[in-house]
Amino acid sequence: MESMLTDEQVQFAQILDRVVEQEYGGRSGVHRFDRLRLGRIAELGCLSLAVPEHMGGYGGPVERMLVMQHLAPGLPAEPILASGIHAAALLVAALPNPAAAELLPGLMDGSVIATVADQEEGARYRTGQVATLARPDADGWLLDGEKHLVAFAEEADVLIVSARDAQGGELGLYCIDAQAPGLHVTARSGVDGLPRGDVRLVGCRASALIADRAVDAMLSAATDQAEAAQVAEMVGLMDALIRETTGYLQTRRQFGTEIGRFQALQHRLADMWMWCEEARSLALAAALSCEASAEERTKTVSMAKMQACDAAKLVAAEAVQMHGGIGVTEELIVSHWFKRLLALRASLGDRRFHLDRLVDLCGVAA
Amino acid sequence: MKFPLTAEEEEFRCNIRDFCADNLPSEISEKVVTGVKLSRDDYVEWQRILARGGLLCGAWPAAHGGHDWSPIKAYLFDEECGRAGAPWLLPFGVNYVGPVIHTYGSEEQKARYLPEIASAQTFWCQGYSEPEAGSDLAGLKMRAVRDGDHYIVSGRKIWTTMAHWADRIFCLVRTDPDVRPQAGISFLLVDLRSPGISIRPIMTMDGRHDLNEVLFEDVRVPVADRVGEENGGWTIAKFLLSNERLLVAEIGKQKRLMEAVRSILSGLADGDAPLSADRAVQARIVELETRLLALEWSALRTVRAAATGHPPAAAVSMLKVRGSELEQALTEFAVEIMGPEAMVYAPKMGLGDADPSQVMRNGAMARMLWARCVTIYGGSNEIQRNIIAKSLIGF
Repeated sequence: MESMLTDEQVQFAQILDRVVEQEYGGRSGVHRFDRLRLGRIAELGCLSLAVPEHMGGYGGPVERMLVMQHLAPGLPAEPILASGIHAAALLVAALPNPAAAELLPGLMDGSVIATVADQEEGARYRTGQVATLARPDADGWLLDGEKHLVAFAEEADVLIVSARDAQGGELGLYCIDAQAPGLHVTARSGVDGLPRGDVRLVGCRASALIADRAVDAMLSAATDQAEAAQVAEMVGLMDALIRETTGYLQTRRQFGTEIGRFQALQHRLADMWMWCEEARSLALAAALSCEASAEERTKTVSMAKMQACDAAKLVAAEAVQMHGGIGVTEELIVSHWFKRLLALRASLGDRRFHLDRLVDLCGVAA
Repeated sequence: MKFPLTAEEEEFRCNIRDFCADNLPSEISEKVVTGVKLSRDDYVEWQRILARGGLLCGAWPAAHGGHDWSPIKAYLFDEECGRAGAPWLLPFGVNYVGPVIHTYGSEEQKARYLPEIASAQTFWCQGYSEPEAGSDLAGLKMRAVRDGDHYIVSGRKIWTTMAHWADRIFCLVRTDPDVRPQAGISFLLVDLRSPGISIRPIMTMDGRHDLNEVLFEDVRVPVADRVGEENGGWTIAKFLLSNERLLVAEIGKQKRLMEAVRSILSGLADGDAPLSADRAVQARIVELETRLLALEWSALRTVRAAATGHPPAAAVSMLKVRGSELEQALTEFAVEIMGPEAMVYAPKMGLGDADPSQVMRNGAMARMLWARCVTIYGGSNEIQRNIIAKSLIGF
């Protein structure tokens, strides 16, 4: 039921489905990061989604949602979210800063990979909790501190790092080149197979991106946009799990009949589908809210991510359960979708973080 | 986040909102908001106000006095009335049998019944369920045997909402017992004052009387009051159920129930602090708000799909399941937060019978007890899950 899409958007979604087949065909679920593939995906506009059209970007919130949702079943190993949406959104917010303007074209064509390093250990998703310090020297800035579980930390060409001014304590954003002296990355393998890394900065050479505006608000806007995209990705993964489980119920025979004839399984499949449909509704709401006020966006994205976390937990667990023994194997793609959803639930903001944020936001009208 | 509407739709919504603000009597809305039981006159008065304002039958075709409202307008009308604290619309005439008559009825039936429905002069009720035919509706047994220009009708209908207030009942009856169950059913319009009909009240666990059992003993019903072909009633029954379900999520009412939770909460203390300051309570409210937003956007996506064709059956079933589950969750939470006050209940308490906060809590208890039926009626949630699973698996 795609009642909210234009004909063009429906066609775009069909193209994306074909791309999944071409680029991530086969059913192993394991792909290695590939720069050439990233370039091909970029040609479709999939890395230009956070950039307004007059700056060479492509599409709006609905296109962002469609890309994330439709590419999700392929389990892309490329930083579509980390670089194409999260980092790009932050750079767009930093405009007209010349460094940001210089970086964006490379992000859009896939020749440059950027990643946002704004999470610190123990901060539990609070982007405002920053201990990393920046001090000026004659050539620019030097950064000291640690960043936690940065997506594509080793693969990125540029890290966008949050740090506090060692003198004034003001929060700022800094760019670090992958080759910069003082940058140390410890790879941390993701449960979903995606690369992550802990970053240690020891007098690391950096250039200032932005320090004079509300960096906290910029970080939260970019994170919200990335999380709205995550919810769409989660919907795409849940769609795939439901499709796969439905096919299994139709064909797997036990007790002399297809197991899909058992009502105990039918009703649980119906529940999986309803949870996913509700997530689809909120993925749309979250996408559109990225164009609304900060208050509206924050509230809607938090509700969407919270619901999607619940939905993903149920859908993934039920898909494995209904597949029986084969469901727990690496051989079946279901287990890979399961683990990708697990990582998405823990990334950028988990259920608890969003529930907490919503309680702070909404309070209770007394 | 507000669902995107066109300027015309926004204007329509505002018009309905203004109409309710100007025309809904506060004596009635106060009862609805607090959960005090409404009288027959309360329901009828609101229907007649809507009829005079030209809004009661807005979704009907213009040829029968309606405005051909799009599905989204019908939805917005329902939501705005619900939020304003309007009584339940009593769909039996205007939304159920009315569309059946203007779609399947004879010219005589249209001329006789539609004007009195459109002006809220007659009060209808629905004769579907029977003691032995609940979820398995096609198994209904009430017999209608031809005798010249009449049917002789015998049997029992049950769970008949507001039959004790109604003038007429529309019934599914068995006209052929020797064929496949669905192929032997006819659709009859029956005057409840006909000799041989008796109505027995059924008290529900909220201590109130809304439901009834209707007994038919050799009731003579003119053949002219059969809608559609003899034995063609199942098609009409399914048509009626599809009309019933698009608005089933009752978003306006759910929003009002959410407000009721906040209102009850604001009057409760937890030691020296207000209970509303408790983060665990606040978290529950935020979770309910999230479910409400998901339901609202799902309902609107489905209504949008209905404008360009038939929405998928599974999507409509989901609205029934999730809407009823949320109504139960909201009404249960309203009672849970009362603490020890949740031990008391007076089914007949009226507006002036106690201090306002106590009346409000009492009404919340009434709503929670009544809401146990929402996952059962209109096709139980188990039946809805069957429908969803069948649409996915194919069997």
